[in-house]
Amino acid sequence: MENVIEIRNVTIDYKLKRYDIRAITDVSLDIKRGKITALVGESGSGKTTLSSAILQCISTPGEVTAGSIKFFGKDGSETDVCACNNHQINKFRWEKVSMVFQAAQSALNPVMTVFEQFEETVREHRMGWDKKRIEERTKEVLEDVKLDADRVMKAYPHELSGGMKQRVMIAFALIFEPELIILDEPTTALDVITQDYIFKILQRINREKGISMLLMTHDIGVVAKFADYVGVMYAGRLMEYGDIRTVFKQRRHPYTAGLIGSTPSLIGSLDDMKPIEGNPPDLRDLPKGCVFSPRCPYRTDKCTEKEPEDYIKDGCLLKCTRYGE
Amino acid sequence: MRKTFVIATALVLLVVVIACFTGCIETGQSLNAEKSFRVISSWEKSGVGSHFNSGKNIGPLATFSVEGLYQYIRSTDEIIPMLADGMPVHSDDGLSTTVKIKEKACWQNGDDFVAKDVWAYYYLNHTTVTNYLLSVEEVDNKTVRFNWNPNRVPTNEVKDLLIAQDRQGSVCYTEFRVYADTAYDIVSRSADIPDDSTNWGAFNKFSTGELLSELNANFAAYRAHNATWFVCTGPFKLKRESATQILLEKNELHWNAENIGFDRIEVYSSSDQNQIYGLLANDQIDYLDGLAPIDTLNSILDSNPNMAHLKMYDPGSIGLIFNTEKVVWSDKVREAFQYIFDREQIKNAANPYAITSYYPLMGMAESEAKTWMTEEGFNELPKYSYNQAKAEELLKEAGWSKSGGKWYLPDGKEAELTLGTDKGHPGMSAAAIVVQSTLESFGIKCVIKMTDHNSWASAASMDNSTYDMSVYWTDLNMSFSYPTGSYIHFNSMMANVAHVPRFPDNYSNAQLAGQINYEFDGRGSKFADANGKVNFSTYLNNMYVYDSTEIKELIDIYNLGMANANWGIQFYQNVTGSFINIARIKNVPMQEYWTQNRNVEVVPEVGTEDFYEVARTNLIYGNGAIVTMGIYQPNA
Amino acid sequence: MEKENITAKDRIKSVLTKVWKAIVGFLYKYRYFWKKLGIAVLTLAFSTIVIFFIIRLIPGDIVREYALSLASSRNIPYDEAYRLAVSLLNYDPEESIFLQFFRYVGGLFRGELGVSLYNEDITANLLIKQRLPWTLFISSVSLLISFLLGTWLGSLMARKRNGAADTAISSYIVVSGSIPDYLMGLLLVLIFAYTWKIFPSQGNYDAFYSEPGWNFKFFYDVLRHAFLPVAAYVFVQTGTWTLMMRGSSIGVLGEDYISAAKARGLSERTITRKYLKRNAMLPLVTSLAVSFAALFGGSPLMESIFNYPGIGLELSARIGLKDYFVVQGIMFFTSSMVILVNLITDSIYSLIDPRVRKE
Repeated sequence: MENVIEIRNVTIDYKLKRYDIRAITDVSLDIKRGKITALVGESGSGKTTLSSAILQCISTPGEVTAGSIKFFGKDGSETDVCACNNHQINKFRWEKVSMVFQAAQSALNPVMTVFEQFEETVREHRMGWDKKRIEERTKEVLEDVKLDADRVMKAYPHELSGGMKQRVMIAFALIFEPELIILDEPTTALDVITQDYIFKILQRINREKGISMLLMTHDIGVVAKFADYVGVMYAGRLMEYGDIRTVFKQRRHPYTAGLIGSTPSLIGSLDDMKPIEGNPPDLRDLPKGCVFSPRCPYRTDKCTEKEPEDYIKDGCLLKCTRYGE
Repeated sequence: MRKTFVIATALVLLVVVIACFTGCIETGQSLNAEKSFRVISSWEKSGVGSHFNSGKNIGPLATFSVEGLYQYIRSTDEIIPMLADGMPVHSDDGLSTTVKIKEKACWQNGDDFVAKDVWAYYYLNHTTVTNYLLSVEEVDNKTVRFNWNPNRVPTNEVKDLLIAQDRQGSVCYTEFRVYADTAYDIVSRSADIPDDSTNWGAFNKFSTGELLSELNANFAAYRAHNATWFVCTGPFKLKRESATQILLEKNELHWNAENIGFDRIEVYSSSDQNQIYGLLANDQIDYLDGLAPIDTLNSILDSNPNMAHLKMYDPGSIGLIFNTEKVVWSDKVREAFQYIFDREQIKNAANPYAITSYYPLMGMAESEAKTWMTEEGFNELPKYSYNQAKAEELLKEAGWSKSGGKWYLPDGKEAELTLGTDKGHPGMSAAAIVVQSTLESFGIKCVIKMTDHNSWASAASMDNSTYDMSVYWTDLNMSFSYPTGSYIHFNSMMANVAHVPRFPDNYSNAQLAGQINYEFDGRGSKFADANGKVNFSTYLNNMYVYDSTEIKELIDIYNLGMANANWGIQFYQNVTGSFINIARIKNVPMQEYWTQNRNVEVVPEVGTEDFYEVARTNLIYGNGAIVTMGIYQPNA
Repeated sequence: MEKENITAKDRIKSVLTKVWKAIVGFLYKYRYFWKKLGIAVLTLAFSTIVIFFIIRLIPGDIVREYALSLASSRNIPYDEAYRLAVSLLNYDPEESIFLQFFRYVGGLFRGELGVSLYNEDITANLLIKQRLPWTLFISSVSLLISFLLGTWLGSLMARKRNGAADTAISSYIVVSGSIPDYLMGLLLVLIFAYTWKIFPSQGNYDAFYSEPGWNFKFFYDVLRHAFLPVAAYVFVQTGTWTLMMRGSSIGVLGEDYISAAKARGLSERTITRKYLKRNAMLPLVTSLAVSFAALFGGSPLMESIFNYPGIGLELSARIGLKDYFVVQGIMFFTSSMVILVNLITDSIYSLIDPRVRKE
């Protein structure tokens, strides 16, 4: 299977006045074409940073200080995202890779109607579409997300409900039929029913159009239901990566085990829920060796000596000394 | 960004280049090719209206366009015939005066200026002279006769001055016919004032009740009349008028058109004194009256090599007036205060060009006192000096005590005085500050309150005023120098500040009600009453009838009486000046002085030829006479 | 016959009821507007009363002061000047103050804002008509320029924070905010009018050079004379707008839709122009409207320095002359303008910002 994005040994630093914060350390990741890849982790683990790096959209003062992010197009082209200049990256954004943001409430310009914003983006990309074509395409994508196109097109953002706004954002992301859509916690602010509805839409889009998706979330349940592959991030490092069945069934990495074990089950008793002891580390003051070691129930002396390598087992990536030789 | 930077640099360079080419002021020959005279004035900005008495401030038109039969020059009392042909001719019995009008005198619309116009002027405008007249007659087209009231005939000199003071060239009979005829009619129908009455009225008539209201209504209608042309006879016509500028052009029909060299008068306006100085320094105006603080004066003359400054006496003195209603001012204390101040120092701070005076408030400025008093009388005037030791002695005699460097009143309270003055007058405010510091170092606490003129005037004149004393004009003559002027002004203005005792408002003798009630020593003259005294108000309105020899006796009585009453201290006789552009204007007087030093510091002595010439250069004193007479010519 | 009458009466009744209902409905629909209007009218009435009585507190006797000025300008003795002053003034000091007030209010309803005490031809209406256009000309042009310049600089500062531009503009804001506008005016006049003689030092146009009318000479003259006053105002006012815009822009830049727009591949120019500027400017629009309303009062200090015949200078001159009714008239006009503009701004704000739409 092909990769649509290859992330190799990427390190991202936030260069502040007095010190630098290393948000992402030596992460390598493949996003498979046509599949839904999920990235899970606690808040601050680096999911958003990594994904915004794919669009060269890291909030200042962050920058990629090592590694490469390569995009492989359907037509066989290869793009080094980090090396793109202003003009190239603007073309790249939205046409090849698009993004659905976390809080759709504020991602739309409040003083423009939905159609005006769609139209504006299209014009900026100089696709050469005339007004009729833009209208038709807008209607198309809005219907893809099961919205009443006529009503929504003329509406201002504050006139739509939360769920509708999120679906508009998804439609927006589809407008140029990109090859990859990044979804950053797309349903966190919504109720579970709408959440389910939206994921079903996403799944359909993925199956029908073959658009790859990178989904960031800290909701394990959603991952289990909809994703094909999952990566687990902790303190800016990729701890485990593999296909969904393997990772969930085997829970090999201690952190992954901890995460899944701390999710309340619909049928089991609440007493079965076990949180992970301790707190995520301060990125300025990381523990020596494996960053998870202070909280890991299986830690050994080897863990505190140096950071573990990336070990591959059954096609899954594991960053834990238990699986190393 | 690059583009904006480049444009900005280009603009700056452009500005610098232009700056290099706009040079400084040129000096040299023939600077006034356009034959213009540029002045500053202020006028009613929404429109000057159409005649002299509309109630609108007509500004420069009053200086250059509205004439009278004569123009008198304030401070010298020179009388120059304008519309009149020659001086007035007095009959032997003194009961009538004839004035001939110039043949060429005419209105700016072309009509002749005739005697009927003078007649109309007087029946509409009841000026001071009408109180002494029985009637004004039209003898023929170009001859007017004034018939005096035998009960109060002024001396001939005063008759001339009274007639000269008026602007007879402001009422055109053909234009104001209706109002003039009505006014004449009402006056004729009014009752005569009986011979024995002390009342006054225009043309010896007293209008009351209905007639009075008719008269007032007629005057209001006359005032409100809007003519299609500006009614005047003068050498310059109103050409253009905006809110900030006025343009006057030469009137070719004027009786002296061939001698008037200027073609146009450009009038500017400004509300800011510093702006006005700037215009002078920048050679944008040719004339300004008044003084400037010494540094400003020098810097103006330095920046503009075409400017000279002449100085002339102001018929007034500035000093300190005591508020005699306050208990603190006993006779001895007032006398003591005459010695406390270094008047020379005050003069230097307030107006370095002025003339220091060591006299008390005495009814007129020193130069006038010298002219109008007898020699013995003048020498009897009390004269003080700067002698703080003497002051201390007198204060102690008055019951004051000094301890710890501070003075205490007889009742034991610390001495503290409030001083009021007009902050808008630079001389007064500077003098007030020196007064305060002198008193403070002498040991008397002094608080200054400076406000604008109007507020000061109200606060100082009211009963129970907060001011113990004020720095202001002690003696000032608003019109011609014939003595009554300054006494009358004292009566209406300074006497209120000094709170001189007055007759009550409901006094039995209506003529004296509200007037000053103060007795002077009669000096054994014929003017004294049975008690050998002369009351201030007795002769106040009657001085005109005494000729110049008789009047000296009376003036001695008044001046010595006021000086001995010690109502105030004279610090200095004011000197004012005029800035004149000597390069653009020819025949500026005092040439032998300004060729040496453009800041002419010499103040011409009373009665010299320079005295008369320099007074004419001040357009406030003489209006546009110096231009009309053809003395000033453009350097074209 | 009777039946027809009844039905006719009923028909009239029903029509009347319908009309009545329509009127009440109309009134109810715009009830917020009526409330605002009512408050506006009350404010105006209150300010009229206050102005009327406060002016009379200025000490001084009009007749005496007028007499003094006549005496010195005409070189006549004071008592003659006093008699002249009494006859020239149309002012009766004996008249009761309340009578004056009611007479004044009556005049207001007829549209007469006030007549001068010194001459009946001079009315507040005339003065406003002559002077207000000049004041508005200078003030609106400077307001517009400083607003546009300020918003541009403000958004620049917000986008390029901690750059050289930010520091330079910040210094400019501090300096220009501390210099009072008249001082700037004096400085400009000194440099440009006196030293370099590029621009005229005073006035609104040179009456010796050009005549008012639709000709190029006049327009050129007016523009030349307007340059320095406008420059002084702009220098001093731009700082405020810049600061406001900067604050607003930084707020907007932090908003999610800006980063969303960036992610969509919109160029920085587009984002600045359409997203940043428009959204950041919205709160400033109310300030703009209020500033515009304040222009109607003119600025006596600036007008005095440039000798620009505007309404501010005229008003202060009239106050000095204690020309009660004209002063009242002009102040009434100014306050009503401020109230009116505020009312209008309130009502149209919803047109600008779709988020603020009142039902």
